[in-house]
Amino acid sequence: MSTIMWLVPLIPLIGALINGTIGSKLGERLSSTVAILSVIGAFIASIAVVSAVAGSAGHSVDSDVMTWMTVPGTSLAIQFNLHVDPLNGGMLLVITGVGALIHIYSASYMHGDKGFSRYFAYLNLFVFFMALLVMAGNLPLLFVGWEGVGLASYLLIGFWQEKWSATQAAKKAFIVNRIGDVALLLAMFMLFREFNTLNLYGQDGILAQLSASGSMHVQTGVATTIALLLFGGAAGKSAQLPLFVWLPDAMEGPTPVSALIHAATMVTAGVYLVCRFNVLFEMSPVAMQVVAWTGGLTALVAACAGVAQWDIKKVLAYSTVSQLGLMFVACGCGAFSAAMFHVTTHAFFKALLFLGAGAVIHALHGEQDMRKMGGLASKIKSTHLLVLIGTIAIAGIPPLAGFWSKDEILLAAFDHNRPVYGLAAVASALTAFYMWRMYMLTFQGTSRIDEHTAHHLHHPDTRIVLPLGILGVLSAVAGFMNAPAIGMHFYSDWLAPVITSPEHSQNSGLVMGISVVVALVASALSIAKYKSVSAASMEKTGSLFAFFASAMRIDDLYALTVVRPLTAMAAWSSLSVERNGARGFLRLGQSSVEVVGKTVRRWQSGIVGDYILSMAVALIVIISVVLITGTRGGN
Amino acid sequence: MNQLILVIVALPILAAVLVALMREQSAKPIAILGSAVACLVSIFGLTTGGMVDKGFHHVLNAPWLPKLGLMFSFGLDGMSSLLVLLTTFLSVIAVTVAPAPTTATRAYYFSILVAGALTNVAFASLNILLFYIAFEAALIPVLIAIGMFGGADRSKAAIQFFVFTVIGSLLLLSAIIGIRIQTGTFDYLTLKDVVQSGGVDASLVRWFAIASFIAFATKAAVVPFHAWLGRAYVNTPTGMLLLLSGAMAKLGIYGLIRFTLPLGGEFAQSLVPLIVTLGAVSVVYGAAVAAAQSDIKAVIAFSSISHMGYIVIGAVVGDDSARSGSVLQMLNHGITTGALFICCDFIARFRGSRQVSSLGGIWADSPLFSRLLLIFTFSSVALPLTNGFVGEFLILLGAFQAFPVQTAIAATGAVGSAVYMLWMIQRSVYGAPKGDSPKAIVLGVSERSILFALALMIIGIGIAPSPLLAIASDNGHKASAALQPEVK
Repeated sequence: MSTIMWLVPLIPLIGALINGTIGSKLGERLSSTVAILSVIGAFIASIAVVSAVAGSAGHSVDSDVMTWMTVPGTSLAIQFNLHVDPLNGGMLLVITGVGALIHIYSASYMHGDKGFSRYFAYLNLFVFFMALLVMAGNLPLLFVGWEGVGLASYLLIGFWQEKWSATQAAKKAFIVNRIGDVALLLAMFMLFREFNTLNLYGQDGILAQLSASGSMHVQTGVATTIALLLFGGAAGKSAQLPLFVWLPDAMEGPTPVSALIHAATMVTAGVYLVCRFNVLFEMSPVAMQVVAWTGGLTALVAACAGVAQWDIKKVLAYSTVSQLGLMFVACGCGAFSAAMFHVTTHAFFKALLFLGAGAVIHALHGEQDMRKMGGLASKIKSTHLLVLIGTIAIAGIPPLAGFWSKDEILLAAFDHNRPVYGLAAVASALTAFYMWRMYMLTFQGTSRIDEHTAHHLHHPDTRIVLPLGILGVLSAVAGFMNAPAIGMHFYSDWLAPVITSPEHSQNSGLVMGISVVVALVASALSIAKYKSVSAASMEKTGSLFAFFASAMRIDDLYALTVVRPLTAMAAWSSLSVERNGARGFLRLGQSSVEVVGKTVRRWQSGIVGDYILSMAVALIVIISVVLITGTRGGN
Repeated sequence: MNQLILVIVALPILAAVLVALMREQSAKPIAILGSAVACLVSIFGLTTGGMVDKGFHHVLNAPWLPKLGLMFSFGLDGMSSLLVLLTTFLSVIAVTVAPAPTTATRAYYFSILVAGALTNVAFASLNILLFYIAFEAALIPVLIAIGMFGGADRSKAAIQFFVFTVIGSLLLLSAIIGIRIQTGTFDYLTLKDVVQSGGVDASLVRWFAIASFIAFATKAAVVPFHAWLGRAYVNTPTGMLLLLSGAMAKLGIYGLIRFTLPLGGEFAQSLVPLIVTLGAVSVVYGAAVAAAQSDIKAVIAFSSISHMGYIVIGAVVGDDSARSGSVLQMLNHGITTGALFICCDFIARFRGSRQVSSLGGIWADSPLFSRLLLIFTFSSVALPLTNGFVGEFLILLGAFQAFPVQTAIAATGAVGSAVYMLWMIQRSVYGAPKGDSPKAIVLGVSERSILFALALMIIGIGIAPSPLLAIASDNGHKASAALQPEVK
């Protein structure tokens, strides 16, 4: 079994290499087939691996094939080793499964693009790195995946390279992520200092040592620092305050990319990291508070921003940031299994919504502004139905998937952190509101689509509808994987070997009741408000709307406090220090020692000759010194 | 095989002499042949050397001026054999890939060949006076190249470069003479034992530590000893620049590991926190200045300050994995920065400018070149699975254990490098082509194969660095005359 694990990342890598080298000669059909099959292959391999995990006594499978970095004479030996257990096994299925669907969808969506094969090379490369990230058996290898998905994200956000805004967004995503990556690196260094290894698993691995030592051997202060650094990395990758600014801009990439990378998989890597280190986080109450509050505030801020967007993809982008915030609320309240559960259901319904939005955009020849949509329900019927399912699911209306996973999070917050529960509950209400707003503006009401486009609607083909359909079914039923209220707890049982779920709570009925009422009321309000909205009323928006639309102007805050001061300092260093520093130094010498000054001026004429002369003088000095002092002891 | 180093040095010198004697047209083939054979021999030297970590292999001792204590005393350990290989390799690329100037072709090739040979003498020398002479003399061909073939600002560049380096060198010379007066020897291994057994005045050891540090820090362009670098790099012709930035700047780091720390006694150890701090400052400062450039060659030039900052940290912190990472990173920096300078040269030749404001859209007409450039770029930003990551990771991991604050500051260089490199890529490779008639960048067969080879090395070292790390870890810091089996 163990070596077969490598097929999961390697098949997509081979796909990426084929498309990256000879893809442009293959033609669209062959190129997309290679890409799709490679991810389906990885999916099949993942199923095999996960069933091996289910069948193994230790609930995990490992493989160690070769050395990566080792320095003789030191304890450092970093391997290429993989580890799959219930925690990352579930993620693998989502990554490769949803990944395969999105590859299929892309084959239709990207039809006719001149970078068709390059697109699939990047997309396959992403699956390779993402699989490596979750399967990695040690931290540096995890970091390979971690930065690798960042690379793939950079390449895909900036896929349309001739568009300035796209390359700008790509660059921003990479740089902001790198800030988090530095924190993750420092966490790694601290863990190495504490445990003298970078391996995660096994008897001597960091996680085992952490569990064994409890809070005895690791000081709480150290645990807090490491946990916060890890969370810093997570906040970059998973777009949390204050590092979430890259994700809305990342919508410059093709829509299927947003669905796969910026909704379903990559952005949940931070949640995975925190859940993986749940033992460490539990050691530090401070870190748990920071995680919970950051998640709660991010959820709320992003939800507010989601209410004020006109671009259909931006609604979904802020929604993703907000939902990721909820996942961290779960982590910060000790409900790690709830976080992972929401990772899974969110992958289904958010991918569904993004792909649905992509189908809408495709139908309207690239239009993303909801002010120019409306009344599409009767025109693209299947897409409409599926997006409706996604909307109900994310709004938290039972019995669809979002309700169950969000309920677990809210319950944990209610029990452990009441103020953060407040933030999360308001964010959930806003979620229902802005999602129905998006649905109503797009599919209901009167059409605001211009004549020409309306007559030439692109109707989605099978390759678009099929993935939507599958995701629609999953969004509807995935909640039953873990619905303790009705006696289903398959998912928490599955995770039990790695993550212990919180005890059953007394407040379960109360919280669930509040959630249902809140979701229904917010949905009803939204539907009522946007049922028949006129084009004119959409133009009239207040300053609060603008403030929300810009996500509380955090980008401007960054420009003012970070970007501009740093740019100015860099320019000053370059223009004054570098340009004149050397001359200034020489002038100093010139004025203090006239002789040197004269020589310097003379060197301008025949520098090489004089240089040789000076060397000769130096040698003469040596020779005389040596001759004067004799050859005592010499050789 | 003790004459191996002589062969490695003599081949390019011989080629240089032939270049000078023969017709202009035959200069390039002779230069390529001479440097290529030297490169092959140095690969042989690397693979036949033992990894003992207490002595040197391929040792040669021959008198030159024995009365002066000046000996042709050579020996290689893992570190120096890697650096010799790097130098010979970069020489091959320097004479192959960069276009020769139209006039005085022979002088151009002559200077490159001699510069490479002298750098190798310095890397392989076990006699500190011989090291000093080579260390100094290698500057002469560089000055010739800058003076004859350099950019618009060449005279200022040459003067500043010269004055800065010569000040450092004179300090070093004074310290070497002082030590010679006390100990009566220039032999490295003997000196090491004498210093370590307390046979040299503390004040003299202290002076050696300070003086050699200044000389080497200037060579390696550690802030604030870097002021010569920007103008010099930008105005050096590409071929020579590969050697200057790729190999000769490494003499500074090499000097710190080989001479300053072992011969500087406890005082040198007490300088380590300062040096580490300067390294961290270099990382950040170099990145900031690089980000403010508008000439892509200047971006890469200043990025060197940042990269060398990491290497300095790894060289001195006293951690085995950091030191090995640092030695490997010297090789990596030579490969990656060399590749990037070559790319700058191509862009300048085909697009007629190196200013980002007049560049753009290179991917649109030169996809192959752009892909290679992207690989070099991500090596420079130290993305995992490239060579750059291995080096920087080991350096930072090792350095963190003793110097967490400085390491944390240096680690922010990962953000800085992304800022300036991706900005450069965005402005030059992406977007739409600018200018009247932007020409597609066409790579010749040899140029293409060299860039491919560099890209393969970047990824190869990124995936399987361990064999090189094993060699790099044999960096002579434990070597002594007492343990040296062959030296008499």
